[in-house]
Amino acid sequence: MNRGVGVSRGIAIGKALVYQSRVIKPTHRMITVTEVDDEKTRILRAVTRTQEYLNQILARQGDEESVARDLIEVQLEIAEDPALLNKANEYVEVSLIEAGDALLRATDDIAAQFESLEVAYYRDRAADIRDVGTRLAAQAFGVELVDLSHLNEPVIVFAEDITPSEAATMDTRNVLALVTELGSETSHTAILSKTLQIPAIVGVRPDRVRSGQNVALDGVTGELVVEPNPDEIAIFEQRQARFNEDRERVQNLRGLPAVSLDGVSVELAINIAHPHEAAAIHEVGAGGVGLFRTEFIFMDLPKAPTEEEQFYSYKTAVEQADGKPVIIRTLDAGGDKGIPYLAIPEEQNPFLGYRAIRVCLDKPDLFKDQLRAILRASAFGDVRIMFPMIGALSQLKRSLALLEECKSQLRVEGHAFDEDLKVGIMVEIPAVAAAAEIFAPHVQFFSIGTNDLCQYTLAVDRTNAKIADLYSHYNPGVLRLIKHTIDVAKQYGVKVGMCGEMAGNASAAPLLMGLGLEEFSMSPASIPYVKDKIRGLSMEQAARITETVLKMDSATAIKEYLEKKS
Amino acid sequence: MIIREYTVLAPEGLHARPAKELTRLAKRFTSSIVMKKDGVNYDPRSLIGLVTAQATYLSAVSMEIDGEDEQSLAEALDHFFAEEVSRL
Repeated sequence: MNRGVGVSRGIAIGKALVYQSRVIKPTHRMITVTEVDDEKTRILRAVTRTQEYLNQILARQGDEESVARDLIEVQLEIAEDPALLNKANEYVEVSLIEAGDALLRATDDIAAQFESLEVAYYRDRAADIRDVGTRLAAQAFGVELVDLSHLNEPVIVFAEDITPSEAATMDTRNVLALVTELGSETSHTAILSKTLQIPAIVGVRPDRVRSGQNVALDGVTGELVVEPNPDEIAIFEQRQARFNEDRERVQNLRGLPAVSLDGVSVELAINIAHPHEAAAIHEVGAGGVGLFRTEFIFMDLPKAPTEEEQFYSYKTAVEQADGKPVIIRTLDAGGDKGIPYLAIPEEQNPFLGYRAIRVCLDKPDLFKDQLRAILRASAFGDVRIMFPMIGALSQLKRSLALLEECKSQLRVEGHAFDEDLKVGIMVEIPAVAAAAEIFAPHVQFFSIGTNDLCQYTLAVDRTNAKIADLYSHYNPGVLRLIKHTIDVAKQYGVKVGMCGEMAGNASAAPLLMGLGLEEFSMSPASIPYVKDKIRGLSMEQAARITETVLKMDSATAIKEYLEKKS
Repeated sequence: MIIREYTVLAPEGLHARPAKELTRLAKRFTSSIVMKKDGVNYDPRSLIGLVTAQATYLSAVSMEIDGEDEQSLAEALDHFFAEEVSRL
């Protein structure tokens, strides 16, 4: 079994096709001065042919605005860019090399220049330049680029990387899934596969398979099996059936509100880790983003992302949400989420250690960059900010003071932001849940983080398999803390939501409805199940179930009871 | 000759999409046009030039326009920087 990173959901079982982009290499042929004009004409012809080719692809795209269309239009602009053409012509004249070599060198120069730029999304344009360079050079050399535009049978495509133009020209009817070595959750591969609704995995080398081998893969978990045995095929077929069923359920429930039989509506929101995932709101029919875990923006980098880079990420999420609220949680580093450049030393008890707001308040410059970026993104939609791991009122007050400081600076600098931006805290430390009335007057919302609340209340490390049976959000003590938090929130007019595992558990929904929870935030895949549950429930039933549960004395009994009620 | 000063309101600056739209706009006119940012000249008819300028959100750029259709080009740019760009 191989494992990569699933970047587009779905299950695929089929034949592998290992696709190798044709590498166009320079010939290093020198030309004479008399050939210069001919070579310059070849450059022009290469440009014209590339334009024709890209225009053909564009024509196939239809008139609608789309990511693919934008990519091709950018490539068209690059192909006829005077800066590129002048450089290529200069190479022909001065270095006396042929048109193809000159185009390759010119695009390499420009790509290298882009790669040295400070801002990430300018740097990323280097890939577009190299892509166009290969196309132009291929035309100049008169070789045909192999592409994925004509496939004879349905295949799972394996490649080192898929360039934007390859993705745009792909014969998508015959592509069951994409597997690439390079790319990330925000790469072309991911974005286009999601748009096309085909599963995709990144981080798997194409030499793991040969063309023609059978492959089964899961775009959610990133699992991939080459030459699966009948048992494995059965497992993947089962998952596929389940996935299709889910998709159908999602489609049926997407447009419907999360409202009980007697008309009480709650908000169902999604948890995300990457800005583009906010688009799932519309796929599953959710009310917004209830938790944007920003730590993933900070991981896998040599240093902290700049304010500008963060702003871009948050704004992207806000745009994808398209007017729906997005709750952005400030950096929750530490615990099991290590970030190398923060240099958090090894600790005996990382979950009880230097993490989340404790780190941020200790590194105000890092914290303020994030607050400023979030504030600026709030000019583009409904953004709310949430502080994790608050354990004492003084921490909340210091965080709010820093937020005010950032607001004043932004006002002076002329940056727009939402003056009424709502602020909330995660309720995940038992001391806060038990004394919620101390915090309620200072915030607009609470979000109960059941995962940490459970582990701290029960003194159970949730990553320790040996004591896994002790960990349950149905523990009566945990439920009392949840109840108290919700009661206090109602009393103070503070909105109350939940963003841990419990919120996405359909069996728990009647209990949470009965306790008065207003917002449930979960992984997008859980939305239809919880929605379905809520829509089949009356508040009277929910109240009865809650009353019974609160009288019960063990997590096991409560779990059994709730599952039986489902 | 017309000189215009603009503030970039495209949230992601003049990169892929806004840059593409700006080069396309500039190409519709015949007047010469030079973009200045931090004292350096860039060619707005070149997407590569625009990306290299790294005109991020709220950076100040000026445009020097000279030619027969300079007036209409300036107006088109006004419209682009005032309205279109923040939508891109």
